Amino acid sequence: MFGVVTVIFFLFNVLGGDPAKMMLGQNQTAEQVKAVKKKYGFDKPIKTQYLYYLNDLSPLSFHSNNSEDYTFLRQGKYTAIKVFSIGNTTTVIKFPYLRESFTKQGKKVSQVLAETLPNTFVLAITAIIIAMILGVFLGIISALYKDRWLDKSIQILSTFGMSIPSFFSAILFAWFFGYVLHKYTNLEMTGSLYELDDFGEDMHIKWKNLILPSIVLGIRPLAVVIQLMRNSLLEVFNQDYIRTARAKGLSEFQIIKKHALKNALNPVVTAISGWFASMLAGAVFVEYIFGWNGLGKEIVNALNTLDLPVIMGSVLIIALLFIIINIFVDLIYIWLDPKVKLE
Amino acid sequence: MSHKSNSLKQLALQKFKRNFWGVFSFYFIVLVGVISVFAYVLAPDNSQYANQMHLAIHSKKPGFKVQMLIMPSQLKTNQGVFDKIFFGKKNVNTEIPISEYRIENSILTYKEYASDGLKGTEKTIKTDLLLNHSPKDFIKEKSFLFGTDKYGRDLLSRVLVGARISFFIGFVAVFISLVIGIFMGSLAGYFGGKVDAVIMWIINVTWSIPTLLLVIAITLALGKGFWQVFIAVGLTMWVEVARVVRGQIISAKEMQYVTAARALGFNDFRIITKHILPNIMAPVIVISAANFAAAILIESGLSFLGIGAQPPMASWGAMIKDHYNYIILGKPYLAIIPGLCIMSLVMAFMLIGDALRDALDVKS
Repeated sequence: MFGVVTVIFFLFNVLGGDPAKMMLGQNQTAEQVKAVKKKYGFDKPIKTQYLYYLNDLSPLSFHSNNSEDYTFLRQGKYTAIKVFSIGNTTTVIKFPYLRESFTKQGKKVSQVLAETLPNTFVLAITAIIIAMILGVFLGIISALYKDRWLDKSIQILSTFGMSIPSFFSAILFAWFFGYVLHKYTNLEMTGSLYELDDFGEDMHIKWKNLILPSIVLGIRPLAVVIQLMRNSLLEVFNQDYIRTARAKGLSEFQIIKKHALKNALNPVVTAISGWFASMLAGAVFVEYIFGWNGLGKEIVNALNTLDLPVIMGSVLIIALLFIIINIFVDLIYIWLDPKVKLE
Repeated sequence: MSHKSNSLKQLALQKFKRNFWGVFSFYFIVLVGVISVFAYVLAPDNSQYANQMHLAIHSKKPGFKVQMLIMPSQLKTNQGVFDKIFFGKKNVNTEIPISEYRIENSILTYKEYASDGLKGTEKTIKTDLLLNHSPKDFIKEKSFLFGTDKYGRDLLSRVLVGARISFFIGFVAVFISLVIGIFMGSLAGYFGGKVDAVIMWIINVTWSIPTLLLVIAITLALGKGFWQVFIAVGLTMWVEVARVVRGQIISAKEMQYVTAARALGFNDFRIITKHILPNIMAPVIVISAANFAAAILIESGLSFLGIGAQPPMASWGAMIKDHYNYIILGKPYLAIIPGLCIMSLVMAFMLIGDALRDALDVKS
C-alpha cells in the first residue's frame, strides 16, 4: 500500500504540469498562483510535498502549531483527536485526509468518494452475482455436453463476451433495451440508483435502473466464469471419486450437486473475487454511458476537469480495496480447500 | 538440440493448423495487418487521417451517392510518393458536393448539395480555373459505402485507417511489455535474493493498481496523445510477462542443461539468453497474444474517454465516442461498425491465443 501511494504521488506530481495553473484555469494572476501554491504546499520542494502527502494520508499525523506552515491544523480540515504535543508540534489521530477537490469549491475528496463508492459497490456486487449464477450454470452445461454443439456455442459466446469492449456493449444494451424495446422493457437508457422524483424533492431508489448496467458489467466476468467452471469441472470429472459415484448409479444431477460442484468451485471463487476489484475500475465506462452516479463516472468527470486529487483518491481507494480483497480471497481459498495451509 | 527443438516447433505447427478457429484468426489478423499498412491505398479518401470533410453531406446512409465538384489544390506539394502511400495525402483537392450543374460559355454554374429540404445556393465559377479539363474530369460521382460520419467524412476510409492505431498499439505495447517483462523476470528469477525481492515489490505495486487506472494515471502524467498511450499500456503489461518469465526461470534453473552450461563456464547473460529463454518462450507467446487483445481494448477505451488518440486521427474508440449519440437518431451503424471492428480484431487475437496455448501445450 505504501508503494502504491508513492507511485501514485510521483506519477501525478513529478511528471505532471503545474497543478496551481491547472486549478485556476486560463485567466490567473501571479498572486493567485502564489496563494494557491501556498495553500496546497506546491511551493515546497517535491520531497517535502511528498512528506506532506504522507502526513495527510496517515491516520497518525504531526502538525505544526505555527499557522504559517502547511501542516498547521486549519479549522474544518479534518476532525482529529489530539494525542500529545511536544514543543511546537501536535500529534493527532484522524481519518486519512485525501485533500480537496480542485473544481468543486474545496469539497473534500473523501466526501466525494463516500457519495459515489456505495453506488459503484451495489453495481459491482449485482454484476458479480449475475455473472456467478449464470456462469456456473452455463459452465456446468458446457462441461456436461463437452464437444457437442451446445458446448461449442457456449464457448463461442464466452469468447465473444471477452472480446466485446464494455463501452460498446453498454451502448448496445442501452440502445436496444432502453430505446428500441423501451415499450416492452420499460427501462431507461440512463439512470442512477437514486433519482430525484418528479417534484425534485425526494431522492428515491430506482432498482429498475440497476438491471442494464449490472448485466453489461457482468458480461466479462460471466465469460471468465464459464471458461473456468467448464475446465475445472472437466478436471474433477476425471477424478476417482466421481467414477465411484457414477458406479454407485447416482444420477448426473446428484453427482454434480453433491460431489463435483464444491471442488470445482474453488478456482471460480478465487478468480471471481479477484475480478471484483478490477470491476470497480471497469465500471468507469458502464457508469459513464448509463449515467450511473458512481465512482467511475466521477473519475471520468475528474479526468475532463483535471481534478487531480479526486483521481488520486479514487486510484488509491481502488488499490486499497484490491489489496483487501486479495487478502480476503486467500482466506476464502483456505476455507474452501483445506489442503492449502496458511504459511 | 536444435534438431529436436525444430521438430517440437513442427509438432506445434501441425497441431495449430488443425485448429480451425486458430487458422481462421491467423488469416484474419494478417488481412487486418495488410489493411492497416496499406490503408491509404485502399481507402477511397486518401487524405491524411482520412479527414476530408463535407459538412453538407454529414451522417448519410451507407451506399450514399453524390456528385462532387473537384477543384485541384492550388498549393504545390513536395510530398513523396512513399509518404503519400503510407501516411496519406497532406494536400488534397477541394471537394464540393453538388446537386446539379450546367456549363455556359466556359462558366460553370452549380448548385450546392443541401439536405433536409433546404435549398442549395447557386454559385458560378470559371472553368479556366479548372485548367480547361472536360466536365467529366472535375465532376465525379462519389459513393460512400458505409455512409458518412457527422463531419461528412467517409466512414469506410476512417475505419480502414483506424485499423492502423489498433494494430500498432498492439505491437508497440506487446514489444515494450516483452522487453521490460523478460528483462525484469529473468533478473528476478535467475538471481533471486534481494534483486528478486525488489522486483517482486515493483510487480506487486503495479499489480494492485487496476490496469485501466494506471494507464489513465500515466497518460495524465505524460500528457494526452497517441504515443503516450502506447507507452502507458506497455508499461502496465510487462508485469504479467515478468511474473511468467520469473516463474519459468525459477524452475528451469534447476534443470540439468543449465547446470551443464554453467559447468562449461558460460556467463550468466549467455545462459539466460541462449539456453533458458528459448525453452520458456511458449507461455510468453501465449501471454503476448492475450496482451495484444488487451492492448487493443484499452486503447479503444481510452480513445472513447477522449484521452487516447486525438482528433483528427482516426481511431475506432474515438469513432464510437463521436457517434454513440447517433444511435437514437436512427443511425446506429455509425457507432456499431467501428465497435464490430474492435470486437472482431480482439476476438481474433483471443482465439489465436487459445489455439497457440493448445498447440504449445501450455497450462493456463
